[in-house]
Amino acid sequence: MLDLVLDASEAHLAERLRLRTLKDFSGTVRGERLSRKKGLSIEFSDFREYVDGDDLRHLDWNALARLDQAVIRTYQDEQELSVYVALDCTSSMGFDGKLARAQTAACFLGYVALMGGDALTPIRLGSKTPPGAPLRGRSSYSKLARWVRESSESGRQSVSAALDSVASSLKRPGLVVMISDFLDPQICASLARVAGRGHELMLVQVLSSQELEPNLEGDVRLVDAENPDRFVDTTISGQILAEYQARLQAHLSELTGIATRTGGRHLVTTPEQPWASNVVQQMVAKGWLA
Amino acid sequence: MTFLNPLALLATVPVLAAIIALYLLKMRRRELTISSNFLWPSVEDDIRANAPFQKLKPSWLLALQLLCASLIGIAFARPQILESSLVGPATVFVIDPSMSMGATDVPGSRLEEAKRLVRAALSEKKPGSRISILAAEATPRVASPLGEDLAKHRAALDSIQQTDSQGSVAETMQFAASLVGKEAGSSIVLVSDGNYPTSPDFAPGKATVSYLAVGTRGDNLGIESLSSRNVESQELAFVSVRNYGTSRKAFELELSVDGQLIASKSLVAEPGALATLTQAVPPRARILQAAISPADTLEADNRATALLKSGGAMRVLLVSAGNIFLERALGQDSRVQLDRAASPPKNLTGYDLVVLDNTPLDDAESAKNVLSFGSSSKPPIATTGVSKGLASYVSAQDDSIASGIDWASFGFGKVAETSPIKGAKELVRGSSGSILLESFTGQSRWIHLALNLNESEMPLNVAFPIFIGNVLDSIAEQPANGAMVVQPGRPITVRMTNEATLRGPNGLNLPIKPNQGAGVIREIKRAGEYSLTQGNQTTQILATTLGVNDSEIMPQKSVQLGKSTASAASRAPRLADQWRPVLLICLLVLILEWGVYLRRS
Repeated sequence: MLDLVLDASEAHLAERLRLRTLKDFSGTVRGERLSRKKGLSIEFSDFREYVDGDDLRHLDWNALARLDQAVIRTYQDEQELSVYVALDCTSSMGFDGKLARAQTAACFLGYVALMGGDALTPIRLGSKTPPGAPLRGRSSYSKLARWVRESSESGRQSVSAALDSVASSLKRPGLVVMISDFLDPQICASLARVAGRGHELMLVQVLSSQELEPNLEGDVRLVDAENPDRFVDTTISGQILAEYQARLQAHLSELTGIATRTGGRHLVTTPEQPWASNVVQQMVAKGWLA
Repeated sequence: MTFLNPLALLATVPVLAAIIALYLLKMRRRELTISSNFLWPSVEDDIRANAPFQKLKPSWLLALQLLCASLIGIAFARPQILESSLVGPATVFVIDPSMSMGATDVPGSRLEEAKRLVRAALSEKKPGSRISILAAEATPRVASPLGEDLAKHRAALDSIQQTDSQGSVAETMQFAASLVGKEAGSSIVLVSDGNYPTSPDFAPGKATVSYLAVGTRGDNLGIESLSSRNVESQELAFVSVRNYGTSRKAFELELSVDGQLIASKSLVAEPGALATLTQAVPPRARILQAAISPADTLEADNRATALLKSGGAMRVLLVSAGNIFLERALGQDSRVQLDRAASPPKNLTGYDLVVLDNTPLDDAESAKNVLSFGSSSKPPIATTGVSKGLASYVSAQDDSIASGIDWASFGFGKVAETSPIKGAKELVRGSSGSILLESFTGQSRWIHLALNLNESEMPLNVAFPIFIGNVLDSIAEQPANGAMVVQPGRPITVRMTNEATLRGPNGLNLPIKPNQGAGVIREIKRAGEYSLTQGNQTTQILATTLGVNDSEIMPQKSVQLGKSTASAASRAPRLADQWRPVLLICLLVLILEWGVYLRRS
């Protein structure tokens, strides 16, 4: 099952990594991820004076014997992180191997989440299928892999509309790993709404080389894959290409800005970039993974 | 504004329609489906099209192209506006340097004033305008050909000198019309005092004619005639002075013979009338000179010179329907007092020579000497017909009349054939028979040249004035040597074998080179005393304004030019072509259109 999405080296790499968040999330299920909240674990946190009602099992008997003062030992709480992997399956992803790269990213980052003991909720954007129950543990990888394999570009819905439609179903605040080309003029507003629900955004933008450096010429009618009724008549020239580049850079800057303002992160990759040796290393270098 | 070619405006309409039709076409584009197109800018206006049809949309390119096509159409329609500038696209200035233009009623002289006016007009020349300057001297002269070089035109203007001849305004105007008459918008500007013989045949073509008048008044006294006559064995000189002005004039008239003053008399001339003087002159006198004083507006006609009868002058009658070759050849000889007639008068006794141009003479013995050309139906030389082919030279006798002429150097053309004449001497023989004959009938001497001057090449050859000179020499009581009286401006032919030197007023010193035994002198343009030196022999040449007939100097308010009349105007309004500025604007619009196109392409 594994070989269809991640190869052995990628899986081995994923097993050694953990997702790192910038925010503190409180889970309802005790898990393996340390929380800033004081709780019950083996990880010592601090001392405090004993008050009535404290669990005597946490009383520091050594301190009482030496100092004749009742001191309670406190420990860090270990909680479960909700990770939502949102894979863009709209029509715009069906160009130049973008969906395949997005599937790889979703599978890899989902596997990292499973290996980290997080609750992974895979979400297909553009599909009418509602998000399923969270996956937990290494044993859920087969379900994750099947879900990834069954994800194909189908929807003619825009990615922003798809994101808006599933945002309300993300009950627990958590880490939203969104893998998409983000080529939608409304996407920033949708991302802001998701971030407003307390989620942390981890944006993996997959753009093809043709989208980063278009190689078009002549008089063309550019038809939008997600809305065939929407087209642009243009004549490719140096000036038009320069204007396209300016608009693209502005859009990327806006994405980075929305991610930064809401405490998230943004990374651009192409299908041609080696996944493990390049993209994953970038994520590690930027602190996305540890 | 008027249009010279308004049909061009109509021709513009389909062009404009074609441009609009092109904008009704739309662009057929290659359809490409991409992930998202919201980052791509669209073009508002297509600059190319390859498929029908679309709704016409407002476009700067369309507007500029329509404007450009309209401007080209307007330019082809040749728009013209009325302006007062003398200089148009093609302008010919005709400057009159005749004797009357030497009048000093304006600063300098009328000619200087004319040159000043033209110089001012030259400064108004626009780029692309072509100008020519013609001088109406004794024969028309192109001072500067049609061109745009102002420096050359100014230099040409300076080269025009005053002459004491009648000028050739009519001929020069006709020449100007032939230069620019076919060009629409062209103009001919005559700068003159208007005193010249008009030509009824003048036709300016498409050119407009303006007349710039110079001069302010017409007061002038001029010697009209100076001659001598033998009356009862005494040589009498006759002088007449005309008052061309409008007020009574008193003056002194002096008469000299061979440089010696023989009479001085105070005379009064009424307006338009003659004052005359008759004076006996010493025997054997040769040169008669008259002068009036004080100086008046026109100095050139205040002096006159004539050869006395005893000095070798001869009266010649030319009987012809009009033959410019004969008139010029006879007029070039200083001894000749030429009269003209269309048919022979009854009394020919006063003439030393009668020249018949294809004309018979009823009484062959009534004239002392006869020179006939071409056909004649009456004796003593009656022609029998015209040769069928072109005659050519065969032989010539050693005779003074035929000498100095290379008879084989020109074509005879078709010649008149004569039957053998008893007693006639054949001087030149051609392939069709006698070409030059000399016969004596009673007291009459008859010289016949069988050539038709209108068909032969001889009048265009230097042989012709030499032949006329030979005939005159053979008739004159004494050869023309010692002194000549000529009219300024008229070229004269002098028999010469070696190079001669012409000296004259104002330090004139010119070498004259002989050509086939004759030299042509064209440099005598002012009245005065000249000398021609060949080796150790010097011929006195006296240039006089007698017969110039240009003493009437009253500036004319209008001049007759062919069938129309041109009034004097300092700046005659003229239609100026405006197609050049229109095309310039069109070029600027094209550049703008190109810029818009580049911005959108």
